[in-house]
Amino acid sequence: MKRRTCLQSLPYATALSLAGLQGRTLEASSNGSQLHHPARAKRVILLFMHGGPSQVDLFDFKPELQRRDGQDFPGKMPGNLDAKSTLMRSPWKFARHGESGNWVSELLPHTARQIDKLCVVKSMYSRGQSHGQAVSMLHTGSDNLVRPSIGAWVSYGLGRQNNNLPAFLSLGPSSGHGGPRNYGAAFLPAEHQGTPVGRQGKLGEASIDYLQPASPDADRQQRRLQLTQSFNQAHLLRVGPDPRISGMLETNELAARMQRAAPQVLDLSQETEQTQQMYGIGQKATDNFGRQCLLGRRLLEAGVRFVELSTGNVWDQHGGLKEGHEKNSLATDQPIAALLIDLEQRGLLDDTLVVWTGEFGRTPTVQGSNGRDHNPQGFCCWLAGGGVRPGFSWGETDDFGYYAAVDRVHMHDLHATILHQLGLDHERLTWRYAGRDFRLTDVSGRIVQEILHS
Amino acid sequence: MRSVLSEFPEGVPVARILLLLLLLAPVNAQEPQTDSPGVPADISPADLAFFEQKIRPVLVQHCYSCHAADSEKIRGGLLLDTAAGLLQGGDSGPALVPGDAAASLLLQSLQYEAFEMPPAGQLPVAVIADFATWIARGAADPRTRHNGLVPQASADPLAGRDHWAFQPLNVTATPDVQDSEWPLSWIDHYVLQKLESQNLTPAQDADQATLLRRLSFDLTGLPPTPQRIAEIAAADDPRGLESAIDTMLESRSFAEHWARHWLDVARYADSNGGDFNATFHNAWRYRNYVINQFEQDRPLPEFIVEQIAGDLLPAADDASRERQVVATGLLMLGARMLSERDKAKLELDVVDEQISAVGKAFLGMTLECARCHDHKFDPIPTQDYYALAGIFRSTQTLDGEIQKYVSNWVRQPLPMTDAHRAALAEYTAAAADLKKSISALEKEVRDLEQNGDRARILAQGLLLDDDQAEKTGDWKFSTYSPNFIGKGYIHDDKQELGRRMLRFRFNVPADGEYEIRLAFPGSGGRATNVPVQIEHAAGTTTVLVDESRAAPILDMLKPLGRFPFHKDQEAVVEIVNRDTDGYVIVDALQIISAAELDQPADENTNAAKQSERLTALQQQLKQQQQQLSDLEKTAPAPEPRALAVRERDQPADSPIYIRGEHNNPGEIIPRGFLQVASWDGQPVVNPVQSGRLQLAEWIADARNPLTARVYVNRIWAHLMGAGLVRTVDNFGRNGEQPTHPELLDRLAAEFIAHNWSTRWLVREIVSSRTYRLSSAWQQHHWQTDPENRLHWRASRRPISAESIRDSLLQAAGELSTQIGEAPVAALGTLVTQNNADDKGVELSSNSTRTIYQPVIRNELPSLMTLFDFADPDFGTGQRTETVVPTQSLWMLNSDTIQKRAAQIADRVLAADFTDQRARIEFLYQLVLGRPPQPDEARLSIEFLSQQTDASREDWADLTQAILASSAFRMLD
Repeated sequence: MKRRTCLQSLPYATALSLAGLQGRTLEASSNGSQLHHPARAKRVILLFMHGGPSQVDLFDFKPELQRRDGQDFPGKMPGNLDAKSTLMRSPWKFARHGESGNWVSELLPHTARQIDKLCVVKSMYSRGQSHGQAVSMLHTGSDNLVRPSIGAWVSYGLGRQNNNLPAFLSLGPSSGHGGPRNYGAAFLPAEHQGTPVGRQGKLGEASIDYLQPASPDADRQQRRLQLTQSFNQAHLLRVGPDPRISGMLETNELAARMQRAAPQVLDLSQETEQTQQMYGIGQKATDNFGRQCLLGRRLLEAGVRFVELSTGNVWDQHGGLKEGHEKNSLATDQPIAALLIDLEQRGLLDDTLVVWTGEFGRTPTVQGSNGRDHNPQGFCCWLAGGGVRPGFSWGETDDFGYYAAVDRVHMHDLHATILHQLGLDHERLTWRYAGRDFRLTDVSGRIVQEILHS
Repeated sequence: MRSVLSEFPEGVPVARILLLLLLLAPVNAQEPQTDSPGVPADISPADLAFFEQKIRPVLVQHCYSCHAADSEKIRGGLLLDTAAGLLQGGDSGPALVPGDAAASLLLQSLQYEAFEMPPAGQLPVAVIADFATWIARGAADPRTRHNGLVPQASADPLAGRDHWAFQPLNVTATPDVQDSEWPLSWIDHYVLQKLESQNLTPAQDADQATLLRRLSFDLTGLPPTPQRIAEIAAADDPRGLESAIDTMLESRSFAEHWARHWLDVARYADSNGGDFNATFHNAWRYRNYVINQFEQDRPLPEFIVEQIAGDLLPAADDASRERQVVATGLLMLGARMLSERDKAKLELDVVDEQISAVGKAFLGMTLECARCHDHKFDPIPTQDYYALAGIFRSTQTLDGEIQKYVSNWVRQPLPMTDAHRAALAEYTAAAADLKKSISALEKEVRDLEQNGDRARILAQGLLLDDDQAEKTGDWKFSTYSPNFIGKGYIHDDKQELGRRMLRFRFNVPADGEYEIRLAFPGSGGRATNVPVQIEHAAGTTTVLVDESRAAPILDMLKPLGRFPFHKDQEAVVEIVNRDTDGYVIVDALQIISAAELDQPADENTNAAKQSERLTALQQQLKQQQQQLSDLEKTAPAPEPRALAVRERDQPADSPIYIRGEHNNPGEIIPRGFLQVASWDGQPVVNPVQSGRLQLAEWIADARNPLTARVYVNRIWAHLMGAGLVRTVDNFGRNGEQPTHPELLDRLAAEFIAHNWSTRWLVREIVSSRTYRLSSAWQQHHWQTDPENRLHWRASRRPISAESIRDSLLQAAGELSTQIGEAPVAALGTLVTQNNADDKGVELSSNSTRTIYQPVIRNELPSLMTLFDFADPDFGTGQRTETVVPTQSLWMLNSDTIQKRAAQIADRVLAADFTDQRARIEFLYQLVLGRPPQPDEARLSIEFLSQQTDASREDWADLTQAILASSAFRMLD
């Protein structure tokens, strides 16, 4: 049943619960028991490294690439590339870290110390040689059509845990490469679309639109609200039960509650000095992403189901690889490590799935003299918490880090796995639109059981 | 029922879906017959044994889960559980060629060459070798249990004609009703007959005020103005309302409001959205075209044909030509992934979007479902899809690239008046002349400055470039500042102060006095105190040079003084970054004899003359630049262009692309239309054109069973709150059945008979008594028909986002009746850049109606997105309706609402009333287009009387509360 039907078939205004109004989410009926299977994670935080971080410079150490610097890549090059076929070694040193002994380059010293929390997937591949396609693939599972974003699917599948906050927020989303589509609901009910905070990788004022009145006069606001509600009550009495009118009565109340509750959650000054320092807040290089990570944690803690953090499109080093990747690593490394530590300390890591990924990786061959081109053929992502195997590494690229080669994991597979951890079956989480059932993974998707806690 | 797992189309009772599934079941889930008992006689015992031992077990174990008749899901349309299935093959063609192992797809796939099968992991080499042997020996296979074809009966176009929507219109006589007094029109007979059959009676008629508000919003998207309300009241004419309807139907507002409904279907936008949010500078012409068509009430077939194939029609005059070309903008408006690097794939994606848009807009069909496989529900085989694809592939939509890998699109030139053309030609010629002259002047000035003075000066004496200096420390090379000698200059990077040093050594050609000049590109940030130490014949002199300002000669050379030198004694000039307060920059050192410099001869006269000439030229240049800038300010409009398609040079049929994959072509399909909706003598594709014209004619034909039904159903839905077919965009098997099939067909037939006139149809519906019912709730009726499918009352519904904005403007007295034109002319090629620095789009808005405001994909105003504006990424026949807290927040907190509420309050306070009650009445008329109900008036008075002295603020708060209330947001 769609909403309209649902509303019209309700017997009387008072019987209309807010949950009913918000669509038929699982939450609306009864939480948890309606999942497809027991969940290992209750929430997700997606750390989106927009632009395409280079796998061979961060996690995917390739001795052969280091040795054969300057030689021709012996395999077949993908089409439509600006990169040359000349291999370029990583300018950074790699070392094994932690008990797991997983490789991390010197670019990410803080992450390296958390490596035993991570499950690094080195055999990712996706569709889309350009950003637009690949960013869309990552967020919606489609490289060319407008589809609901993964956060919207999760909101639809799990519903809200906190009625005073949206189920899905996107912090610092890019306006390019599809912009709002990447946190949009497409044909899912609009309530599932992500609420943006800030833009272009920046938090800005860290506020939600219209949460505060243009002229803050609490008394006037209160009496306007009361009068509006009186009018609505009068309307309802005049015309008889109407689910939309009673819906407006309820949503007005909810809006007033959100207005009181949400600013508390968004207020980072409630955190201790020590916590802020751990995230790198107050340090020029790490301040912005540190604030994103800390806000992300506060939102998760407050019951938000899906939080996305975006760096903005900064990882796209066709040239200036050395300077660019150093800057981006510096900006994100400490905040992300702090997020992992903080989640663990608060006992949230067990049931929070942390996902770090770009829309694709970069070529091990050189573009210009100090750059790398797009590479959806092979790249890395990592997951942590939420029931994935910590201190683990899965899959391999070829000897040069170009193509995903062993135990390949497609973007659809990553999506299927994320939903699986949340207790949702990617083949059964569907929405009927234009005559057919749509799902995040289209007609594909394999749950990567091997990276999950048994 | 698990809510999240089973989503049925809006309002379809579950029982009906189950029934549908049961009806489909016999074809979809054919029970496999058992193996026939006998083995075919032509299989030898040895071959049979080989098959049973080596082949069958592997097939059963590794293949049947996806490729057997009883598989949960049959993959790739391929069955491997019978001999026939293998030979027939799946989407990619036959799986084996008996006797030719290498040519068999089955073997190639086991070898992981064609497909990678089985996907779980490659089979052992020995097993693959068995398959090669088996195929080479003739692929003997005893399995014959059924015909091996994947059942796809649902897509059979002939059988599909049984579906109601593909049947010809069934026009019935107006039915009899018991209460013959009640109906006002034939429409009411159809409605009342159904109600009576359920023992229901229609609700009361709506009161006049409610009805006028409903009519006004439905016809024009605006509330009635206080003036109109007064006029109708004053007329005291039973026909008062009818003539008001006529006035509204004839108004531009009607056209603007109804055009917007069509723009929803057309997924209208002023930018691409997608990966590169490119600006559609000319989309507005299509928007205004649509408004004009509704204003002129053009018959639907003309509207259809122009939008699909206007460019292929003969044009009577320039105006017709322009209209016809602009109309094809419909095909251009889709959001595309412009940066897709695989352009063959992009082309098919674009075609798919066009097929999807046309299918939904005109036919209420989801044709795109047949791109990869036969339609799962509707009688549309993949052949039909590629018959249409051939038509759109023969049409040019994309054209070149904006930047590398990012596709550009077609812009069609539009007719121009002779005067415009002449003015443009004159302007272009004049501007070109001026530009040419300016560039010649610029060159001359440059030559004089550089090759005159510069060359002469630099040729004097001895010039030592920076690379001739001895360096201590790490001096950085740079070309950042453009005025330098040689290849560039060097600087100290402000590092290691006191330790970076340069030493020039030279011998003068003859004893005497020489001027030493240091060359550097001076500017801010550079040191003001660069110590230059000169060892000369009379000793050592240190000069502090200020490099923060340009040097006096050629902006490059600074004289440091005159010093005596001996020709046999090496001279040294040393520069150290000791205690320097900025960048230390060195480009060159020049040494010129004083005698040469002091020659007053013709050299200097020449220089004076040159300088005079230079001044004159520079003045001339300035003048001409001013002239050009003046000219550009008064330039005529550029050559008009439309966002429109054109024909491709070589129209061609398209192959089927197996599974929709662009690198997997199959059989070529002749261009054509849907077989399920075909008739004798229907249009045939013109082989030398794309076929769009014939497609348009086929859609616009009265015999097409879908077109008129889909159109009248949408009009009904806009006026009545829901369609007779509630799934307005899906008339397929998965859509809903009509609630009043006879009425739907009668409406379609009458619509056709009345020259496909939208205005006629709208008037006919709003003149019915059914339209004029009250929306009040009634317990008994509600229990029988909670969804109001039988129309026992009017359906209460929200007003649109556009109506919210336009009402606010109208009530504030700010609404402009101007016709909007190009709303995004100020934007560049891209609306937003794809980088982290982009600040987003800022557009100045005006107070024309919302339909004229820009629709920037990905950047819609919050009022639009929050109040259910149609997502321009999709064609939308009926908008979704949501009630969410973010709407409340907007109504309570937005700048817009507070500003407009204050304006409206000021207007009310400024009006000439002595009585507060009359003032409140005026406020209600302005905001809601009706007087207040008694309870509303009471609440308003109470609110104002609570305040000691009802101020401007209090009136603004009252206004805002009315705007935020359900009475404003809903149409009773």
